[in-house]
Amino acid sequence: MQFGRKWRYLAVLVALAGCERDLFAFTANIGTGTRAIYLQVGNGSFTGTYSSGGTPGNNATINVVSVAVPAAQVGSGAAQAMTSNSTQAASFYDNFSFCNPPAQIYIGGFYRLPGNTGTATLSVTTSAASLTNATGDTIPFSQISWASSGNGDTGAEPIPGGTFTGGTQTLTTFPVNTWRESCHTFSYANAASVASGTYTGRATYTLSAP
Amino acid sequence: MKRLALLLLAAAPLAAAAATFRVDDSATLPSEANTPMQWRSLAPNRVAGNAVDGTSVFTVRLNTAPWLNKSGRIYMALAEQPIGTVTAEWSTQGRLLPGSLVSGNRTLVYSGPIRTPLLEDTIALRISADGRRLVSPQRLQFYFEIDVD
Repeated sequence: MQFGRKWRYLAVLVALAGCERDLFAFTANIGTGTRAIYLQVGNGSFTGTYSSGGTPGNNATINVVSVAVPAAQVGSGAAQAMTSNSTQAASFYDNFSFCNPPAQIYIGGFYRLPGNTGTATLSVTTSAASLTNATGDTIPFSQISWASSGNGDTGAEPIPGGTFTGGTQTLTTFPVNTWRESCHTFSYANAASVASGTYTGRATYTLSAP
Repeated sequence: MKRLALLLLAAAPLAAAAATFRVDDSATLPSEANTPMQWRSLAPNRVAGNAVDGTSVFTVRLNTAPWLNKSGRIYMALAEQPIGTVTAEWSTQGRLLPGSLVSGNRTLVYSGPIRTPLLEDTIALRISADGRRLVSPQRLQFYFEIDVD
């Protein structure tokens, strides 16, 4: 019986000790950081650089990538380098001169989420399967490809080179809490003889996260 | 008597071995505050990385009556947290010392004679944590200890 009582007293002491911390403590309840997502294709806006705690902004610019194929070259199969009206050379990551406009288009962004798991998906969708001119002639979007690089980069690019499919295609995924960027240099395959005219189409890039 | 003796025996080693005591701060206002956390940098980067920060203001009221007319050092403390390192920095109105604290440690906020039964100050507490590990709300329980001379 005596042995049993000792343990009862000990249990009371332990219970009191456990209560002390809750009684004598003020509590700060902290929540998680907010989700954020940012994508820049071509010219973008940023207040400062993010390595100095800057803030991304909205930029409504839609950059144009184009090429004028000389008449004698139309349909020759000789790929034609395209150029752009982009002026974005610096990466907002750290203001490093990462791309070489107008030949290259900057594309980059980030996905912000509390935790270590999750990805955002970068995709591109063309306005139609083909570019069209004023009289309805077409050039398949698949005639346009891009190479991927970045000044100072070695190894595989996070947003690799490819060819438009004329629909929606996935380009890559962004791991959570990372910045991904590449510079894309576009070219026209020039594989078929087409009627003269200005052929246009739009490719819309989307970075999405669940 | 047996029961009383047993309790005294159990308590005596605790009192004799340590001159550190938990300070009653139950009069602190608010006793519990929700602290919204924001990414230090909206985008991940090399410097600010993935830190999240938040600030709350507390009026700390420490019951120092048990050590009136004694001398000691009072520390603010925070236990180690399951979300990794949590850092707290605070400013004061002058009654307590400003400072910073890393979870699992304690920091001096007062040193000297205890001349009043209540030690009161308003602190602006800025809390920082790793946003990648802070995936659900956490309760951070700050507390005070006194080392009596």
